[in-house]
Amino acid sequence: MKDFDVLVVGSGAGGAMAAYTLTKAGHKVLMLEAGRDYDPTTETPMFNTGADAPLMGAGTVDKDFGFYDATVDGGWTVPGEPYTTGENSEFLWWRARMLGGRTNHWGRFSLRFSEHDFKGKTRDGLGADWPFEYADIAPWYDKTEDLVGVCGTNTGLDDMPDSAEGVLQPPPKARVPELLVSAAAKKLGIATAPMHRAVLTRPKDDRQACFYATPCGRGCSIGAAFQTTTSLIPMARATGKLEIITNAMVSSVDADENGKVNAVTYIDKETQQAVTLSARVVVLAASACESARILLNSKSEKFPMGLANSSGQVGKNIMDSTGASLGAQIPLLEGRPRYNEDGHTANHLFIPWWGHAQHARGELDFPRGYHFEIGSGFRAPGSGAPGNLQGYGKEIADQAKRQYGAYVGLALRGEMLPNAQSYMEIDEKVQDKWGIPVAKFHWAWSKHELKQVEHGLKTAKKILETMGAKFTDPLPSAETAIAKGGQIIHEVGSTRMGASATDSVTNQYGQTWDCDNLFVMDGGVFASNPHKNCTLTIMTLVMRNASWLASQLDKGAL
Amino acid sequence: MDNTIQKGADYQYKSGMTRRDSLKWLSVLSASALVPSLAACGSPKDQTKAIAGHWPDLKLDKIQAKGYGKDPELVNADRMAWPRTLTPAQLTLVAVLSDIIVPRDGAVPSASEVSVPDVVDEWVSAPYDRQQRDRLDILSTLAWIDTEAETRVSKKFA
Ligand SMILES: Cc1cc2nc3c(=O)[nH]c(=O)nc-3n(C[C@H](O)[C@H](O)[C@H](O)COP(=O)(O)OP(=O)(O)OC[C@H]3O[C@@H](n4cnc5c(N)ncnc54)[C@H](O)[C@@H]3O)c2cc1C
Ligand code: SF4
Repeated sequence: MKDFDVLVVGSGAGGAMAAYTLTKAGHKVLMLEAGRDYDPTTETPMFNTGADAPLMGAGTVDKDFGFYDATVDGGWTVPGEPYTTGENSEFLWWRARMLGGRTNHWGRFSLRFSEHDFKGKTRDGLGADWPFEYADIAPWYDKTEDLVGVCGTNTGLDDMPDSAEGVLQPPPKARVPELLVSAAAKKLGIATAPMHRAVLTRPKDDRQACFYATPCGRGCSIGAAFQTTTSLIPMARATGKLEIITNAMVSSVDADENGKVNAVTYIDKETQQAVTLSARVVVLAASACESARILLNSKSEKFPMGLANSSGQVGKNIMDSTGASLGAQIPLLEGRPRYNEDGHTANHLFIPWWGHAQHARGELDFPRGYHFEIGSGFRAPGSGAPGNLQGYGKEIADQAKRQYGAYVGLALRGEMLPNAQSYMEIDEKVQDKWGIPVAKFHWAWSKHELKQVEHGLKTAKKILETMGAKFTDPLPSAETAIAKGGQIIHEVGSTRMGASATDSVTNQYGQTWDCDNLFVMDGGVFASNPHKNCTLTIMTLVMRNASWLASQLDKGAL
Repeated sequence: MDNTIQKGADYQYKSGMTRRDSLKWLSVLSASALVPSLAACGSPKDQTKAIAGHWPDLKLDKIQAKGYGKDPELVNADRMAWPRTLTPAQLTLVAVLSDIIVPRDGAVPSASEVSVPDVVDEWVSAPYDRQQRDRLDILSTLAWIDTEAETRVSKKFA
């Protein structure tokens, strides 16, 4: 099994894009994936109803986001693979153990970062700048959006850089409650825009267009909602240059005394045996915190603090998105005529960050922006009765009917700054069932995030009140409203890129400063975590950086 | 399946009951004194007083069954991943109560006609924490209603 140029660890957004880009450029790739093989065309319960599922599909510790969620062998817990947390720290770590990783069930929100996002430190002195300009990466965003298939429009808003002409697919029409949000927000001087989602509204390659009927979190067997198992992985396989070993849990990367990486060790989960494969070039894309864990567990005489960690930054600077939500029953929407409002599952309109000018004028007491995702519409009922139903008989049935589809929720997703209290290390006392030492997380929000959430809750309340909602209870404090660390599942930054080897782990191509044949190609390399959901940028960086890696291989530079 | 209902207390819920069957026993039920008396104790103050009197202190054995695990078959889900635990009498009581909450309305079926008692049975028999908490609440409520009915009309509720 030595007949490959690059060994890629992980098959999610990062690993699959790396394999796709490298094989298309003519290089042979061996991919190691810790989870089992997974085939969305046969395994997706697209049309099953809640009544077909245990507990009407309600979430349990086995299936946290509901019975039909596509996650295999994972969720908030992975059996036999614990992690620990420091004192007074809470951190939630969502993992999936399956081919395609978390792309099988992600929300597919796909918003570009802007020059403003890449240069936050230059602007306000906080966090870190990225080691390139927006202009360097803009063409790669175009290529990635085109390959992945993203619906949305160019808005010209300062928070949403335009895509090249013809790249975006047309977005679906806004839902009625979203139009009401839009009207209310407009009154407050806040714009709404079509959400950009990695969902096809027109056919592409072997993938079909969305038919607007089934919840995307279960996966999409027709390939409309992007997941690597219906797109990048089959496409890379079709080149004949990709080989995949599933159930292969990588434990360490080995390096020689010159600092060159020369092998990868994994546990074959079926035989429980450790297997060591020599490798010329290694790409880690096991997800931000798993890749950092592998590096920290790869200790040697030459690398006593873990591989590629001469800066001491591996595991540091972990950032999630901030999260908080506020919702209300909107009387105006009650009793409206019934029609299908499924759409492509998620919000068709959202509220991009509108505060650039206010920030520039110094009017805000928090440094970084956020957006709102809108939850609304007639949805297939689940296992719970929504709303505050009282009484019984016809009375309660009438209430339920009237209230159905009239609830609107605004979910804040905001930028977090890195801080010294939020990081991971290895817990030397605890091993997973494969004998690999586990990650230990430390977490604290700073005043920047709390002030931002406070502002967000007040704004959400104003928008909902403008729509006619009545609030009797006071708003919760930011400390109670803010989601836990990791809960928004946008954890990045654990192997950040930068302009210098002293304060970052990789250069702008994801190449580690310490080992030139070792790359990180997942969210670990993020220098900051703008509020715009990370995965489109993970894939864009990987397409760019794997192309650069391919050019280095072609030149014989590695 | 014979679901003939005689006036009195021998109605028994069976899953898959027909519309005609449930209409029959519902009319029996609403003719009885139970529904109005339930309505009469609607004020929270009365309820607290009654509950304080004899809220059952059930000691339930922990459900030992296993859950469906982290990688269940999704397309053809196994609805019987764990055994059911409600007794026929409890199921019947759930049927009566759920049909008081959601009776048939024209063409819209009642709760028991769409097997709500089976879903409640699946729910309270499930080995997960949340369902186990609900099990204590629900079984306590069922036991309370029976005792309450006995003290009021010298008859079990259903
Ligand atoms: C419910 C949900 C909704 C989300 N919504 C959005 C959204 O709308 N927009 C957005 O941008 N992002 C969203 N995300 C986040 C998104 O899923 C991740 O950012 C993205 O999948 C990260 O890609 P990755 O390749 O780094 O990791 P993953 O997709 O997690 O893939 C990593 C793979 O590596 C494997 N692996 C891990 N450790 C090892 C090891 N030691 N050896 C071998 N293999 C290993 C894993 O099994 C996994 O298959 C969401 C996530 C969830 C869970
Ligand atoms: S709504 Fe559309 S994109 Fe989502 S799963 Fe269904 S068909 Fe696929």
